[in-house]
Amino acid sequence: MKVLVCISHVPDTTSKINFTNNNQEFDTNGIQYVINPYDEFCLTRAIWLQEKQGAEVTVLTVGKADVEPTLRKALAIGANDAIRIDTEPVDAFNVASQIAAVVKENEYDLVLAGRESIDYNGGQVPGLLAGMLNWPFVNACLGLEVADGKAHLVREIDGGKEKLTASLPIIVAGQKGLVEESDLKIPNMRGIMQARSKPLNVREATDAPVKTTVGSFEKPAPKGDVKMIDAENVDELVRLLHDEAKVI
Amino acid sequence: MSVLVYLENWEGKFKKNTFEAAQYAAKTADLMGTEAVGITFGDLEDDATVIGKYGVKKVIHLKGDDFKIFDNYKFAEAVKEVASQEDADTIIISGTFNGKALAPLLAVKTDAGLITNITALPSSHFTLTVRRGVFSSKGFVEYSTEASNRILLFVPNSMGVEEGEGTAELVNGNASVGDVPTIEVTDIDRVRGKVLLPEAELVVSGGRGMKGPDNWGMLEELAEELGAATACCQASE
Repeated sequence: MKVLVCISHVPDTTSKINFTNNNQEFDTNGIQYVINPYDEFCLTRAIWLQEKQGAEVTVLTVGKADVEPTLRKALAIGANDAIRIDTEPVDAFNVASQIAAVVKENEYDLVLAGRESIDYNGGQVPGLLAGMLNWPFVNACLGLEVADGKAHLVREIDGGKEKLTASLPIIVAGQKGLVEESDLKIPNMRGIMQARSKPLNVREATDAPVKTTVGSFEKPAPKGDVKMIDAENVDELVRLLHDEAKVI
Repeated sequence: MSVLVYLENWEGKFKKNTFEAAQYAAKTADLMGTEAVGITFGDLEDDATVIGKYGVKKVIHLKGDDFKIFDNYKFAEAVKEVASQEDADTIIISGTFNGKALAPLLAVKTDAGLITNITALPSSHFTLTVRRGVFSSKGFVEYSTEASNRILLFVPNSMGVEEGEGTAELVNGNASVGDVPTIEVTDIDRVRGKVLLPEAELVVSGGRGMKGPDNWGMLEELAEELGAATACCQASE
């Protein structure tokens, strides 16, 4: 089984978000980059399939050379090889088109990607990729097993869960639940050393359309004041909930 | 040109974000100087004509075995066909789990510019421009698309809903789904009797101050008393 895991190179979740150049650009000063957390759940599940079922795991990202440390981390976690498509990821449709070109040239059985990236929160690439390839697509996946040439999945729906079965190949957009946070793989020293010699192939971008453009950024309004109420002062809490918040 | 809105129903019932989607579509259509048309699927328990109270004058209802339960490919094919029948160049979808599974497939099928995570009405429709959240709500940005077809996916419960007057015309629709990738649904497990976050008027929220999951029960109890949903930041999950 050949598994492709699509990785986004995103700011660490604790990053202070600021904008620069008259709010036209994200300010990258002091930002540490990590594997997109939703992609990390997918990668860990793929490594589980590698360990239990002999899957061959390739990781891929779309970006310039500065994303390579993120790919090397994925290799240190256990991916067999990596692909970097050498272009700036400017738009979800363009990114999905770049990935589709790679998938069409390889016989992947399973493509995994996080349900969204935590920078632009688009949640588009896995579904666009599925549409371009005309493959089955499961979004917000909480559980994945592969047996007898079929994928058995659980996806989150509004107010519940749905169990599904689909044939391979398939595209799955994963999230927490695919594996638990406590099961996420942390690279060990042996993995880090091995990652240095694993293949990281750089591929030219294809000529693909861009459908959207980004304008000016703004930060949200500052948070309102917080009222701290003594744990013993229940009367005051009730008064505030009734008179000010008007929720009771 | 018109605006088409996907009116999601859950086991035949409409929810708050169905009405929110209808209202968003009607206001977008107003901006564009046109009208909004709704599309809904499967067996209905609720009266679809109530969608008229939110500004949508016509609802197209697709029934049959293909549309009994949500299937992202079948629904995308049908929405594409109805959009063509209704001469719709703009499609509005609420960002529910199903909406998010449907929108990108539909974007490929209709060669549309897709903008997701939207938190406001479009500010311009010539080059369609709309505000959306980024960096997990630590920022917002104006996104634009010059594509001739566009799909807008808004964040549920971000717009608010105001009930007005009016009745929508309910029309039986026709659409074929063709040969699409299939996924078999083997079981559906829904939580019942709780207010869901995308539907909530009130939210009881907790964070790291709760110290741990053992203390979460008191928030659940408070939410139940208030008829509210519960929510937390990622750090307190």
